[in-house]
Amino acid sequence: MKRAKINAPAGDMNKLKVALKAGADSVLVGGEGYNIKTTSHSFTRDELKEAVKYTHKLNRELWVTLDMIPTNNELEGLDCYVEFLNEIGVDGVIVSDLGVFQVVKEYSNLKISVSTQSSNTNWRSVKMWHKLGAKRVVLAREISIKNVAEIREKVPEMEIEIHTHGAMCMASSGRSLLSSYMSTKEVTKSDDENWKFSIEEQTRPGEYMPVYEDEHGTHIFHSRDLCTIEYLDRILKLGIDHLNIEGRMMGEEYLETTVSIYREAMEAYYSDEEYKYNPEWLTRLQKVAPRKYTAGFYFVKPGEKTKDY
Amino acid sequence: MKRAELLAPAGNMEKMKMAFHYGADAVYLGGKVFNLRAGSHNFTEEELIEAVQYAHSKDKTVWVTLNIIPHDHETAGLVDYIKFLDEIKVDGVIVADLGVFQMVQENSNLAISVSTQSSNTNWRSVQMWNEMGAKRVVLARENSLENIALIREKVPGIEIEVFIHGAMCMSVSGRCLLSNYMTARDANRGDCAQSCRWKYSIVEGGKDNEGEYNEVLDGDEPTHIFSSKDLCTIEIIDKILDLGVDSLKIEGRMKGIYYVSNVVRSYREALDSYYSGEFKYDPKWLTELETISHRKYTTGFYFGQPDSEAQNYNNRNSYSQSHQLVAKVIEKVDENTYILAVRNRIFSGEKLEVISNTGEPKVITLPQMTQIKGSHEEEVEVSHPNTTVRISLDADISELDMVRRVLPEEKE
Repeated sequence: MKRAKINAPAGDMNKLKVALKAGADSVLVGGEGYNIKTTSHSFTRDELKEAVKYTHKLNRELWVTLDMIPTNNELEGLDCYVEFLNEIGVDGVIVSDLGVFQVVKEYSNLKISVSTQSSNTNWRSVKMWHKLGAKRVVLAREISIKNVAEIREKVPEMEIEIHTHGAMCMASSGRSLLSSYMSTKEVTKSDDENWKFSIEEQTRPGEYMPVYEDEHGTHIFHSRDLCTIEYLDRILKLGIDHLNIEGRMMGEEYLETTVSIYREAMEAYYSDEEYKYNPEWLTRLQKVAPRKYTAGFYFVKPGEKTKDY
Repeated sequence: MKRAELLAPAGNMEKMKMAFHYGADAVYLGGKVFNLRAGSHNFTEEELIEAVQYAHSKDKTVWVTLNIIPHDHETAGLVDYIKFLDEIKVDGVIVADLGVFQMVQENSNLAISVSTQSSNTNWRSVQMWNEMGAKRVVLARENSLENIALIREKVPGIEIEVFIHGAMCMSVSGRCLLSNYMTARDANRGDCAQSCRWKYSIVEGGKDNEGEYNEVLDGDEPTHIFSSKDLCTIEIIDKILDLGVDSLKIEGRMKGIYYVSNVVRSYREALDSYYSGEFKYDPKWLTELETISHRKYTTGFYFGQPDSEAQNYNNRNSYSQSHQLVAKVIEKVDENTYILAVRNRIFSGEKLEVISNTGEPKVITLPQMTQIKGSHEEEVEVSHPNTTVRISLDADISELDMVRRVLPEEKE
């Protein structure tokens, strides 16, 4: 049976090593520019070269995210950057925008994965991406597992990846919403740390939604992180190619725990013995979680809210 | 220079007819399924046939929206619907999803416009759509004048459409699931709960699980930090037309006939002035736009990334409204006799204004009314919404004119 692979985030070189050691099959990093910056560190060109070497030595893959939705100006230099990534042997890139997709296709042979942000919710759009030359699609998160299964079935030629763990970006705005608001209060927004801010909706006390602002605008995250460890067998049964663990801003301990638990569960699934879910997996994940968990939209009925723990 | 078309929203048949009467060149509308604005009346299949025939008889065009991002089970019936639209000679469809795009291409000859929901903000993505066979792209709102100019220059072979008026998402269109996560109502399938318009507090924290959450701004009430003002470009319409775009889009399928007619008329006058060769901005265009119920206005992204100027902090909607639609002229019986459809309670003797698709508003004093209900007639001094009245008036007004009342000024 075809085995799924784990795609883990690497916020910096140390985290990259941690993720690979914990059992990731591929790692995802962000370079300087062209991506939604959800962590304070961007891989410099030298670091990217080093990262590729290190990763390939272990026979794994290194992917770089180019998931911005750019204006014309923001496209500048992308062609050279893509040529550089191609040259140093990066395995693939993630894109959200058709224009970025076109640049990658024109200037390189890099494999292309289409981000969850591109809202692929049906098999026909996935098939179209295959026709356009994408190697992989990361499906939208807000679809049912049945829908995922149908896409898998109807588009066998395409690699399918789904989000299985991590923070979920709900909305991206081109506006600098935090700065704008604070400017009216004569407060300057500090750029020091990541994830410094959250928002709380008036009628939903206690649900804190992380908000992050970068040069592209504002990104609002869900108050809970995705965690599908309990349902991993149902996901693996579908023949998904890659499981995405999100979180370039995750600390090393959290990263190590998360990747190794999903690895352990996957090995248990693919072993000859009958698969048995271990509730300790969830307990250990909860111990390191920055937010409470939800199983997301995969296993709920239409019209129902996400399945929260 | 090829003239840009003025494209208006048509939530139902009446709104479509008003839009055309007040000067729209084209309308976009939705059927009962496969489109956003699920809450609008929308058009049945019979109504779609009628709408297309009506529009074409006046040399106008009709676009049908197929702009949802469908889940797999929702694509059932779409092929038949596409073939139907092709058969009845709809001028084009608006799509947001690549899969729907493919279905339209495979099953029809319909022209395709790519929705703002596809977040096109650069010339390369527009070029890709051109290569795939789209006729038109509706740019994302997150485009400055400069950005649009370059797109126009780099992709001459495709039609470009931009929004000029109406409500806006605070997110990049199509990239917002606030509603999905907070209410289970899907923003990309027509059911957005407009969560961005609710009240939020900003707190510090969220980095790790030891973090405490502290209010960033002490004592600050939750505010509508995300809520966007409405787009209004009447004051810069010449700059937009200078870009050489093909279509100017007005948002608002769920808004009333007064909104649609008034907005269309103001921009129609501005366009005609521009195309006369001697554009002269008339402040009364904006004055008229401010008589409609609206949130405060902003020019959005046209001059670059907006700041707090584009946000509506004080009140969820902050609607201000200086005038109220009270009736519509539905028939001119003879020189001095008119039939009105009453929309808000009206009183004989009150001063009202009548607006038409051209010219200045006319002030009238509402005379005694004869209320008509089937064959029954009754003289009345007051008439209520959803009634029909006949009046005698020595004023040159026309069918489809609208009657409005000036509202008392709101106290701050």
